[in-house]
Amino acid sequence: MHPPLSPTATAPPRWLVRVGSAAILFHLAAITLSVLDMRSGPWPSGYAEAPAFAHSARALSTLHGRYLRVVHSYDFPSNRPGDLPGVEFEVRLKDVDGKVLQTLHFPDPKANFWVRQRQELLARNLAPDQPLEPPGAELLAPPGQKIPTVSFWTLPDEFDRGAGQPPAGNAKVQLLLRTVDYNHVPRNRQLMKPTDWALVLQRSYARYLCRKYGAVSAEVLRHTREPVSPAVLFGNPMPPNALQDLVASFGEVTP
Amino acid sequence: MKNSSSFACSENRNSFFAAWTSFWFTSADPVALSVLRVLGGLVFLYWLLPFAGDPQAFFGLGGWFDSRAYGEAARLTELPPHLFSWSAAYWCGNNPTLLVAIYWLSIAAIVLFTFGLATRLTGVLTWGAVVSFAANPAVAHDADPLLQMLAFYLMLGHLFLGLQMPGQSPLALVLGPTRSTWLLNGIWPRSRVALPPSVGANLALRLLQVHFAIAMVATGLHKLQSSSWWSGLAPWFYLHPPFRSTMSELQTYAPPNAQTALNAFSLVAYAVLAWQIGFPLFAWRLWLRPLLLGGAVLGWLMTALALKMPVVGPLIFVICLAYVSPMEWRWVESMLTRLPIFARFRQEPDAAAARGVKGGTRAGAVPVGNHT
Repeated sequence: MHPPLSPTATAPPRWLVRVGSAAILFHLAAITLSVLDMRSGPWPSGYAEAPAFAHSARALSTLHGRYLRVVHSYDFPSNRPGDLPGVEFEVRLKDVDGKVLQTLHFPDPKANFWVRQRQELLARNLAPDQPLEPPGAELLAPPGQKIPTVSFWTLPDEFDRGAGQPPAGNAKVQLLLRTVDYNHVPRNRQLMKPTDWALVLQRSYARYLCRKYGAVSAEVLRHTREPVSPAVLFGNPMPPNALQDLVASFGEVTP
Repeated sequence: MKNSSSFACSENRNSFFAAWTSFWFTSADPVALSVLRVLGGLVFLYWLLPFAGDPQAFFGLGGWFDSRAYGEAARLTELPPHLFSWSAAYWCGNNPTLLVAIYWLSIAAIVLFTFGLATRLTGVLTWGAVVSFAANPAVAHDADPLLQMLAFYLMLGHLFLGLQMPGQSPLALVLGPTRSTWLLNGIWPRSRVALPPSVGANLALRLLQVHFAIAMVATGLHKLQSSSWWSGLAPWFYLHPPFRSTMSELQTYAPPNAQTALNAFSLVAYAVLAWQIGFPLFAWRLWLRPLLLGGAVLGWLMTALALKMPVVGPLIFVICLAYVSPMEWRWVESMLTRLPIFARFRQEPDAAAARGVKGGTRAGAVPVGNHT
């Protein structure tokens, strides 16, 4: 137990202790609810939703989250090192004729450690990709509106060659981001797409570089590598594609 | 029988409320809060100063994450809410000069807070600066919530600290008891006016302690959702980022070295999990202090060397120092003043008596919470 109060220490009045205790309980509830209000997984059956009581009571942490900024789930991306691919990217700055003026690599090896670390954080947000669920039936646009579009990764000449056929030869392929309406999404294979967040980020950074270097447009190319397999620790050979880049172009962005 | 059980119940309830009141509302020597303010301020500067070269790029609405991106992100539904926040940088719009001015004013506020000048005001400004410059969602970082946590409780402690000191001018009430907080209360310099024990200082540190313990347990439990932690291979992935690894380096792990490496990786992984999930079991125990601080130092080394995260390690170490009681800080002070280099800070017996300091512990200060 705690030692008794010193005679010279003044204890706060009882009403203040009660009000303070209520405030402390409210504060701790707001912090804890934000931790609990998180979906968990992946489990064998997929992701599990957050507990209902925590989700229902999430309004309690509005003050703490939006204004005081002291709540967080404490589930950091770095908690899952085996699930995160390595990501770097290059940006091709172009002039009005589409000629490449300059190619910049990020994280920039010449940047100071702190800036490079921020560039790594930015790059990390460009991956991983997520599967694209094709629509079950053909969509009809409401009157006066268009059918929604979706972006996904394709091989360069995939639509000309016919879906499902492998690329010719052993040439290093570069994925392209193709945007089509939902009715034109290929349904005969699994498609992958970048997250909407990655698209927002790469467009914003490309615009920033265009403004900084006076370019008319910029193309962001993402290089990803799978996490390094620990196969060697178990006496197995390293997978043949270990440490190989997969390059994917987000396409051109104009400011 | 009924009477004795209701008496026991009432006694338990009274003892719970006494422990609760003692934990949260005891007056404590503010030395721990002062040490934390100085070290926390240094961490805030260490985090923020490297961006002095181009604040507009990192924090401005014409930078890496521009105003158009904020508009696009607002339409996304699956983003975690903690990514978006208020920021003083948003008031600057696309005006880089104004942003640079706010950046340097923020640095000045943090420096003044670190030195203990007008802490009631500079504490609020420091918290505002930390929240503002951690607001860029493009480069959200593991350290950001911990920085905001530390800044918030330091602000809270200094808002309450010294409120009840007698004879303060209205200006001192607004700015804070600078004469008592400049630089380290009770440690240096010895000519300052001593602060009385403070309920506010204790309350802020208690909230920081409990909040950080929740964060440690939560992050440890989140790790258990990843197979790499269960298999003990998480350190392997941290140590071998795909773009910094080479085949020849990886081949050094081939048998017969593999088993030793596997043992080492899994041992480290489970030690990290045990430290984080078991954090509340040892954080408040005086006799387990080496486990708390030793783990924080090892974590600092690991995050800096393996994860290349420069801020997380020192930040966790500083927050762990919040669990060190005022009595322990006074003991450190008495040890330091025995060193020849600190001899000039040694207090004369009569001066110490005048300040109410006895045997390294201020009379009236209550050593709290570390003996439970």
